[in-house]
Amino acid sequence: MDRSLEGPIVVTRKRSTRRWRVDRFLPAFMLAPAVLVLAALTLFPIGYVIYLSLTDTGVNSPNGSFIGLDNFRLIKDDPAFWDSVRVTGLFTGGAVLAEFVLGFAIALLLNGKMRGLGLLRTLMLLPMVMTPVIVALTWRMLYGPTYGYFDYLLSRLGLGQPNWLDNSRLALVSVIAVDVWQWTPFMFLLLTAGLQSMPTEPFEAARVDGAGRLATFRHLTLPLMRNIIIIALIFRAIDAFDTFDIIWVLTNGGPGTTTQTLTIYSYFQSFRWFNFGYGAALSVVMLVVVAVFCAIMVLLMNRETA
Amino acid sequence: MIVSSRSLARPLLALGVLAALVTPRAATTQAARPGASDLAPYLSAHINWRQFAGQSINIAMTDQVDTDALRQHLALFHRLTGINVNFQKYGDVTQKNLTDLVSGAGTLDVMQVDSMVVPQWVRLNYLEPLGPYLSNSKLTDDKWFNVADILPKFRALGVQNGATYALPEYPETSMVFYRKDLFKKAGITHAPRTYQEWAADAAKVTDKAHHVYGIGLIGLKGADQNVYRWTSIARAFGGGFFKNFPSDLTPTINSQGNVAATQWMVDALNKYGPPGAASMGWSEVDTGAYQGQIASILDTFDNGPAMEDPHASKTVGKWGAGVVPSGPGGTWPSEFSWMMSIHSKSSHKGAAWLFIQWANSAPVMLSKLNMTPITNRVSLWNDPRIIAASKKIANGEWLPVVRQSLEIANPQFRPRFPGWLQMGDRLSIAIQEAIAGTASPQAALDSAQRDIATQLRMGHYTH
Repeated sequence: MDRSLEGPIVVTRKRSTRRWRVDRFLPAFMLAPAVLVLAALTLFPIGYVIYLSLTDTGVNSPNGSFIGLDNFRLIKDDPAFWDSVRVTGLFTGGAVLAEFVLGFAIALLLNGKMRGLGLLRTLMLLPMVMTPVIVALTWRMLYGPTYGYFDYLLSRLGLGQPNWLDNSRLALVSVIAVDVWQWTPFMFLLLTAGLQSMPTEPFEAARVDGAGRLATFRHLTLPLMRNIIIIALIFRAIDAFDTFDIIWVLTNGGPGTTTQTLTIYSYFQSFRWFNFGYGAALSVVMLVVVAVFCAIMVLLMNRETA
Repeated sequence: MIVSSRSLARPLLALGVLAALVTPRAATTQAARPGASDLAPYLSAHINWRQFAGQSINIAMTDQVDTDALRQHLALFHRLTGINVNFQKYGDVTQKNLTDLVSGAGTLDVMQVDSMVVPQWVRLNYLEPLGPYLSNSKLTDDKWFNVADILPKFRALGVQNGATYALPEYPETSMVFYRKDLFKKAGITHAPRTYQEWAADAAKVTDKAHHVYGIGLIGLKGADQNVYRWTSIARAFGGGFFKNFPSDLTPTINSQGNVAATQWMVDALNKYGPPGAASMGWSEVDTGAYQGQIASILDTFDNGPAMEDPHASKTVGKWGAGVVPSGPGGTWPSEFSWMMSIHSKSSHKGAAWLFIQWANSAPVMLSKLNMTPITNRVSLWNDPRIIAASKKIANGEWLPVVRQSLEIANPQFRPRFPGWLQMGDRLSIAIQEAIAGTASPQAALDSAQRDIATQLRMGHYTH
């Protein structure tokens, strides 16, 4: 064998083996820090919450004993849990629906070409960038029975004081209104992006065919916007489902339990009564619900893609 | 947001007014005169204050005027003992304590404990028994410290199974504050003595057209919010919490007395209370009083100095005070205290005890007089400096009522047992529902009775 030929071949093999190793492990190596941070900040807490949910850890049992699924059995029979599920459903459903309708309406309204539209859109986004606690404190003042602006306006009109946050029939609606005020811009933003990314040809064809505005909206805009609508609704639903700050500041979950959502109830169990195990079990239930939301979104998106 | 009635705003107000009220003699306390002489009151104790010099202790206290008053003397404590103090202030110190205890972090040495949770924490071995420290002559000069001088009924809040676990550093009881000018205008010359009388008085002074409301009570839910006031009323109406506390914890939440008391509260607030009463916490009620919109309130005695602060109150000099109204069940001023205790896992227990002994001593209580006249010492409530500092509060009616209330206050005002917070919170929801009109007092308390009975069964307090 010609050695002059053999030598370089061996070197090439070594190099290719090294490159193969580098190609294989470098990405893992580069990703490792991010994965570790993610694991520490997300996976570990989730795992720990699941573990806690299977124990009776709390102020009466600081070390906690393993009790299997007992906490979940207790949840099943806990009327306060079911009441908070009802409130959470009303809050999430009411807020997201109102935000969607308003957000879509505003997006359609501002979808044309007119002067000052850019500024108007920017202003529309302001509520969304505000801290929820500040938003809630501001609205609490507006709702206030003594110095509140709304009651002042109503009194000038000769109408009574409805006690926005104090009236069990109004409190949840008042809280939803604040969420709608803050998060309608989010819907508007996503739906505007969707409207602007639609192809123009079908609309031109529809116009040529003499289709009316309503028919165009129903048969063209809505189907073409389907994906973005699903994303917007599910993102907002997940976020509304987890809302804590606005409700806590506005009503503390009251009057009574009128505005006590699952997050508020879970907070009481974990951080006021220090039933950590039970509170963790409530969090696991919420985690499952959010996971279901996400699964629905992925399913619907995949169906569309297919 | 749930806010403790011992939280921020009121103490800050009290601070201002007391600075103005105290006598020149009181103002020139040790804090104002740094130097060796300010250590003299402590050096007269026959213990070696420096036996733990160089050690560091961590202390968490709630955000209130007493905490700030104590904080101003920490440098003095360091000079006296050589102990370094890492002092932290929290809006909700109970939560901070519990997070430390339950997570096992064990970072705190001295804990400020809500008297309502002492039984629970003792059962969990969170608190160090103080008996061995009190009886150790190397650690405590019994004569100098004179623990017997600390208000006995409040000392009882820190005693479990015959052993002392915590000392009442900042005690409080409740009373009625009323606008003397408005009451006088309506022909009333004294504080209401019964709840019927109070409602009748409120009817006379209420002037809704001018936004003046006769009665202010906490409606906001929370074991430490509306229940705290409601208990005085419910007890007076013959109500309570259990069949026979502590031997029989069968709940009696929907008893006749409790329903009648809640009905009284609902009627009083609906007819003579400010709008939005169901969501008013202590700070909203106090603000209403300071701004001249609420003519009488049931409140804790630390409110007295605060309402005389001209920077925050528009009603300075217009208040009078009276013992909480009576009923068939008696007269029930509240009893509560912030207690000081040692974390059972502390590695600097000796140093922690020296701090507690120092902070609860008579000289420190007097040195805080420039910020608060409230003391845990029996003898000091008769001290001329405290009398002088209290003279202008509620037109001189405050101090006699404080003394009388301290005399009749009962350590079992609210039942001190481990499940209290959860039970109290559930009860508070019923009270708020009744005030808001969501349910009748009977229906709200019936529902609370069912839930609390379940809670107690789940907590193994009943079978």
